[in-house]
Order: sequence, then C-alpha cells, then structure tokens
Amino acid sequence: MKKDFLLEIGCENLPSGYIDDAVAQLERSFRETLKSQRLPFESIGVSGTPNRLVVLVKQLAPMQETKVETVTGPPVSVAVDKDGNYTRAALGFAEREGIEPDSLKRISTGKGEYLAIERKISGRSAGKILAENVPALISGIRFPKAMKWDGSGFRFARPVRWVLALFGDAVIKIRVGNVVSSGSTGLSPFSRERVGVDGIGDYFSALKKHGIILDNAERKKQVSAMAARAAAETGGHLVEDDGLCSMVANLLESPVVMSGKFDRSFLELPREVIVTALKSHQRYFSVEGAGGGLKPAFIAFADGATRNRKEIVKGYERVLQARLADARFYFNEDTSAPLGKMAEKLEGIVWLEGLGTLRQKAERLEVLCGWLLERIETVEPGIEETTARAARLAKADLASEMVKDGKEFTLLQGYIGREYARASGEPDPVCEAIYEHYFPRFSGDRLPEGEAGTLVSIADKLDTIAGCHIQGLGPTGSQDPYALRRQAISILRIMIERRLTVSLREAAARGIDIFREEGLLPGDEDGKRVFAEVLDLFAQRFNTMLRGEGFDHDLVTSVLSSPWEVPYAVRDAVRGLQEMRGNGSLSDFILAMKRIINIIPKERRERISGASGREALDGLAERDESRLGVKRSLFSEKEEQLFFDASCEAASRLAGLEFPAETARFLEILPGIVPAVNAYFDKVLVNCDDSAVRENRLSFLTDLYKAFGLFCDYSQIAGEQA
Amino acid sequence: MTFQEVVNALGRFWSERGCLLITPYNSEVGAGTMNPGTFLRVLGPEPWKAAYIEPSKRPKDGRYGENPNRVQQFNQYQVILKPAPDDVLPLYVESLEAIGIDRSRHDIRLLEDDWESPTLGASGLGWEVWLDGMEITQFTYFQQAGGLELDPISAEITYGLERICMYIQGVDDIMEIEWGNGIRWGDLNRQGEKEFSEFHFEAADVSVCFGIFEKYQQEAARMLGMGLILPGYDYILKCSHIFNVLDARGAISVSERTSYIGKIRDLSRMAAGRYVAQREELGFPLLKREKAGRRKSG
Repeated sequence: MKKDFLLEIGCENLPSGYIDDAVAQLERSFRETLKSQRLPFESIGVSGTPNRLVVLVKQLAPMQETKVETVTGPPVSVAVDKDGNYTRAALGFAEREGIEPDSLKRISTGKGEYLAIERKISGRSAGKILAENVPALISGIRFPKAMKWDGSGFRFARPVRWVLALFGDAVIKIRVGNVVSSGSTGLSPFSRERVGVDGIGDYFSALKKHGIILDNAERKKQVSAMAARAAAETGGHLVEDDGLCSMVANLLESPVVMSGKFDRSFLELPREVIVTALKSHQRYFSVEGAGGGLKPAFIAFADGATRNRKEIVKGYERVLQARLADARFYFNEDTSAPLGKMAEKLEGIVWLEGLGTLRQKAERLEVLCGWLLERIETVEPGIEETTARAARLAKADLASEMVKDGKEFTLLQGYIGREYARASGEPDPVCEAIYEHYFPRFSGDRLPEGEAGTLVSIADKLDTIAGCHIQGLGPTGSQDPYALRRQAISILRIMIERRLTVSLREAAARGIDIFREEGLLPGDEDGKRVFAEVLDLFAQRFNTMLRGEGFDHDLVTSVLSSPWEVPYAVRDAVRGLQEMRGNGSLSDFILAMKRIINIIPKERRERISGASGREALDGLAERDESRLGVKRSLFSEKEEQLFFDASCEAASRLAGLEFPAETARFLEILPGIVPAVNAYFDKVLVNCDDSAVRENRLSFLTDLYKAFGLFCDYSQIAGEQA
Repeated sequence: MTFQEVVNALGRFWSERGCLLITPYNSEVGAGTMNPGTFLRVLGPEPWKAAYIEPSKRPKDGRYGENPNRVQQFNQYQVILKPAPDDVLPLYVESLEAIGIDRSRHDIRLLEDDWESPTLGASGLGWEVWLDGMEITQFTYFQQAGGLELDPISAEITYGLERICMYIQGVDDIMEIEWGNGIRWGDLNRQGEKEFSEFHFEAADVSVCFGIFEKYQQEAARMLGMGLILPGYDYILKCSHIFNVLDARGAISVSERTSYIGKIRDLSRMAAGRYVAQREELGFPLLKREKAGRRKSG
C-alpha cells in the first residue's frame, strides 16, 4: 500500500540565507534518488525554517518497481545446429546463468539473432531503500559554510539535534552523525524536550498548534502581509523591502509582529540612514506617512513570543534608540565641516596597496573625466566644473564617520556623499553626480542619469580596472575579489545606452597612462601587459553580454575580433549582422568576403589594427597606388578593373563614415560590392603563373582584407563557406 | 540584580554544571578567548570546562567615559565547554533564567555570526544571541585555533555583562549600572575610561610602543623556541595589546596592519602547535584524570 514519507532534520538555528537553497537542493536530490531507485510517488514537498528542514513525499510506493533484466548469450548461428538443437555454447550459457535450456529465448539485435534470458528483479522495500539513501541526501546538502560539533565529524551548517523519519506510521531508522532518527520532533532549539508524534498527520498539526509556519514561501508571504497590516495600524504604510522580508521570514518559525516608536528628533537624519539603521542592524521595517516621509515608527518581528509584548517592544525601542544616537553622532561630526575638508582626509586612506591613497584616486578621476569630456558632446552648461568638482568629492564620504571602517552605513556610500554635499551647499548637479557615480551597482541596476555622474562613474570604474590589473589583481577563474567583471559590464552598459562615442580602447590606454604619469606603474611595466589584459576583460564581458541578449555567438565574436572602439557601434554592427542573417542576406555577403580572405596566404593575414586598417582604407579611398601595394598597369582582365573600382568606391564611402561613431553603417555599404567580388573570382585566376601579376593581385586583396577587416572579422562567421 | 550578583549567579550556575571557576588573566586581553584558559585549553584532546569573568580591553572603543554604550574596557563572562555538550543551547537558556531572564517572556534569537580572530588564527561558527533586539552573547562552536583544526569541538559562550546588566537593571547608560552595594559602574570606572582614552588616543608614545612591540615579539619567539609555552604566549598577548594601542593611536596604516596581524598570527600558531606537542609529551594529563574520575564514580 502506498504511504507518505516524512523526514524532518531538526537543527540549531540555520543562517537565514541558507534555508531557501537547502530546501531547493533537498527537493532535487530526493526527486532524483526516488526516480533512480524505481520508487514511484505522487509528489514531493520540501520546506524549511531555521530549526527544521522537512521533506514530505506523498503516496510513495512500498516496493521498488520490478525490473526485467535481459542477458544476451551466444548468437543463434553458433548456439543452434542445423537440426535445431542447442549446441554446447547454448547449454554452457544456460548453465552459467543457472536456468534450464528450455527457458532460453531468442532476441534479434542489430547484429542478428541471439540467445538470451530474461530475469525479473523484484523490488526491495521502500523502507530499506530510504534507510540506505537518506543519510547521503542529508549530508549532500551544500552550504556556503559548514561545521563540526561532535565526535562524529559530521558536517552541516549548524548542529543537527534530532531527525524524525516516518514512512506511514513506521519509523525509518537512519543515523546522521551521532543522531539516530525517531518518531519525535523538537519544538524549540532551546528545549531538550522531544514531542512524540502519532503519525504524519499528527506531526503537522503539532507544529501548527505551536504556531510554526513550516513553508518558507508561505512564511515570507505572511511576514509581508503582517508587516503591511501593522504599518497601517500605525497610520502609515510599510516601506516595502523584499530582501528584508526574506531575511526576517527565515530568522523565525512563528512570526509575531510588533510595532514600536523612536524619537521624532531622529527624523532630521537623512532617510536612508534611518532605514539602514532599522534594517541592517535590527531587521526592522520602516514606516512612511501619507506624504512619503518616514514616520518615527518601526515594525519588528518576534519568534513565537506572545506574552510580555510591551516589555519586548520596549527592548526593541531602546536598542534602536542607541543605534540612531550613534548615527546622529556620526552625522553631526561629519557635517561640522564642509565636504571639501573631508575630501582632504582621503590623503590618509590607502585605496589599494601600491596604488596610493584615495586622494590620489580622486585626482586621477578628475584627469580622466577631463579627457573623456573632450571626446563627448555635452549639453549641460558648466559641465566641466561640475564634473571636476564631483570627481574631487566623489570619494570624500569614505572618510566620514558614517561610512568609514565598514559598518552598516558603509552600504550608503555615495548617498551619504550626496547628503553631505548638499549640507555643504554644493550645487545640485555636483551632489547628484557624487551619488550617481556608483551606479550601476549590480546587474539590472539603474544607470547614472546626469552627464557628470555618467563620466565620473565610467572614470571611477576604469581607474579601478586599470589599477587592479597593474597590481596583478585581475579576475581569474571564479576569483574576482574586486568585482572587475561587473565593473567592466557597467562601463559597457553606460557607453551603449548613452551612446557615447568615446573609444574604449583609447580610454583604457589613457586610464593606464595616468597611473604611469603618477609613477604608480612599476618600473618593469610598459603598460602593454596591462592594456592587453584590460581589453581582454572588456572583450570577454562584452561577448557574454551580447550573447546574453540573444545574438549569435559567431556574429558577436566576428565584430569583437575587429579593432573595435566604441561599444554601441559594436552592438549596432552585431545587430545588423543578426538582421541580415534573419532575412537571408548574410550568406552572400560573407561568402564574398571569405573569398577575398581565404585566397590570401595565411602568413600575410596579419592581425588588423585600427591604424593598419585605416591606412589601407584611406589608400583605397584615394586610389593612391603609392600607399597601396597595387599597380593598375598590371591589371589584365576587365573584371579586375571593375572590382578595383567597386572596392575603391566602397572604401571611399566607408572612409567618409564618421569614425568611430557610425562604423556599424559599413553594413549599408560593403554588401554592395558582392557582385563585383563574385565576378572577379569567377573570371580571374589570382594565383596565375606570372609572378608579378600574381603578386599584384594578392597585394590588392590584402589591402581589401585590411580595410574591410576594420569592421568585422568575417572569417569568424559560421555556416557561410567559401 | 546587581552586576556582582549576575557574575555570582553565572558562576554558581556553571560550577554546578561541572565548570571550573578560573580567574581572569593577569595581562591585557581583548576578549576572554585570549585567556589561555580558552585559547590553549581548546587545543588537543583533553576535556575542559571552565567559566570566568574577563575584563576585555579594546582601546579603539574608548569614548572618554562620555558615551552611554561604548567603553574601552568592559567585562565578558566566558564559558568554555569541551567537548560541546549536545544540550548546550538549552543549558545556555537556563543560565539566562538563573539571572532572571525568563525565555517565555522575551524574544531570544540566534543570528548567524561567524567568528574569526585573525591574530589568533582562530575561527568558529555560531550566533549572536539577541534578547529583545539587543546582542547579549556571542555563541561559537570553535572550529580552528592557532591554525589547528579542533577535535573535540568546544562551545564558547561569551556573555556581554554590561549589556545584560543594563537590560536587567533598566538603565540606558553603562555608567549607571549598579555594580553592588549602591556603587555604580561609573563610580568605579569612569575615571579609568577618561584616562585610558586619553592615553590610547593622544598620550601613548608611538615610538616607545613600536619599540616594545618588537621586543615583545622577539621575546615571544625566543620563549616558544625554548619550549617555554606559557611565558611565550604571555608575550604574544602583550604584542596583541600593544598593536591595539598603536591602532587606536592611528599609528598603523592600512598596509602595515595586515603585516602586524600576520606577525601575531604566526606567533599564535607557533604557540598552539608547541602547546599540543607539550601536552602530548605530558601524556594529556586531563584525559587520564577524566578516565580516573569515571572509574571512581562508575
């Protein structure tokens, strides 16, 4: 008869961040194990609280399914003689397998007819299979950190104190470290008491009676609803925070909501300082009034406490009061002098070992921003002053009492800078740029809006990437302690979405150069290694990013293998190629380009740089034989001349594009020469016997290879074979 | 309950549960963990159960006696249980009841807190214990000390005595805690807070401190080399304290910090390794005593 199976792993409090993941892992591993053990079931439900991980398998079969195993013997041609009798081979096979020859069967395989036997393997009982497999499923949960707590050496996120395992009414005996399973549960990690349950149904009602909400998703929903209700009861509404809801829900089993107050005078503090003090320190929710401003109130959760609430809330309030008093102390200290004064303290803060102080970083940002400013079109009046000032002050808050030394308010870097800048009377655009220069902080985060914020953001990230690579701190494998990959993506996102026409290649080179000018490039470095590594970082991230958008891998690689400069032009080009592939026009174009490339001997296909490509393009555009390796006097075929003319015409239009802003428009021009290319290769034998003519032709094709290769490495594009 | 009543109640509770009541250490320590009664005793296989108050010195936290929550010297009540008993959490909650904190009337919570001491090469997993939102205890299952993996595992319970007393007595200022017989915490310690804050932040002679750090460091290494583990460890504690003074004095840059911590950690590792070797040579005396005790009582 089918029965339910229940497993409860009772633990001392698991870290709140571990629970959802452990639940998902158990669900997966149970499903896989029951399947591979041929134990059918109706459903698996896994849930968790800090004190228990619970698996419920519904309607689990009592026995493994019977399996029919086929053993193949000798081929019939050998096993049966011409009279239809079994030979020695057949009899030997039957004897080895321990069956009567009468039971031998014939099966046909791809190689012909064979003797075989079929054997039924009857299933073992589910109870035995569970007892054998469950311990490994428990120890197989991977936690970010695990520990030992007794002589068994068993490792888990926190000590396991009891295990309940019931299959129907029967206890399944398993051992987890020193703990042996039973039919009892624990209601609190603080109690030695174990409560025997009378079957699986009784287990769930016992927990329910105790106010324990087992299901983590359900608990989160309730926490969120209870918080919203409690906030409404204070006359305001909840400052929603999904992350806080998840955390709070996994810090308790039996949510009890309470609301408390703090002194109104603290509302003078910047809003996020208060919200952060409530959240990061105490895991309290903030409450807003009708106008959107904070109310001097908070919502907090206790675990199961239903008595003595008044005193508990008083405790909450006293702790919070002390935290807010700390914040006010920091705020008053910090704002007693203008932010510019604080920026001077950056002198004393080392940014990264070997790369000077934060003051030096701020100075580099100012230089790099100036360089960027000369290369973009701006609309904001006074942008030079704004950007320079913002760069100077961007890191000042790191010297503040509020932010320094890695406390909870450190999360507010940038925000605090803006608030202090305002308090110091800095102009609005400067304040905003200080705040915005940290954006985007994570994937999907907003970008800086203002021009100054945009520039300082790019400069800051580029400076960090360059500096870390100089110190050999670039990302390797899964290690990226300075989050350089994320910062590279952030720069790309900003440059693409704001359509900045700055060459990222030049910007990276400039960023590294500023370190050199400051004497921060070690003596044995010429910057080439750093530059190559930085570009490689960008190319790799860009590649991942574009493929993530759904562009084909080969198209992305083809454009990123060219000497690209401007991120949005790269993306435009990839999008253009993808469209051509979509409407079927890509094949002919790429085929033609590959005809040009493939005939050039490999040793002449040097890597194209921006300069060599440009040199060839200009030579063609101006039909300047002295700059090209071609003599028209050596042309012998009509198609040769026509191809030359078509190529030079295209080159002249390509050279007329605005570089590097609109290079993606090569796709509007270059496909036009396809007929001329094909006519040429159909008629003209490039590798002809006359060495001067042959050399002339190859030389011309090499010029085309270089000039057209400025935009894309056509050889990387798949499927279109020459 | 006065401060001293709390200390006595905890002492009584834990001594009744088999702990030795040992003394605080006679050299400056930043935490009860650094008392050899914890740091050295958790090493090796010998069982150990001890409880003691430990004045803990954190020069950076000084506020001249003017901040209601921060002082440069506060008191921990340290309990070390080796091996960690299975019912260590229920025991802890009962100890709170012994000082008048009834679990059914309060919100007692365990918040993940992975403890690590870079200078001791020690780490453990556990929690901060919150009483109605206030952190009152650090609870740690030691995993490593002096760079050595521990077996058996010890449970360390570190009560923040001032925090607990402020809660029990309902005062918002550490200075207002009643120590005993009507005398307040501030009556005893305010002047010390003022003087030590001034010393740590302004008066300490940086070059003298750097000089003695180096001498202490050499002496620690020399003692450990001679197999004099306890004197060697003593000098490590002195190094650690002088480092904290220099740090509070603002004399240690970010890059130097790592290297100073590394120096102390190397010494701690050396002390830990030699201590275990020495105990082994002595035949792990407490292991034998435990067996003998068992025979007698059995």
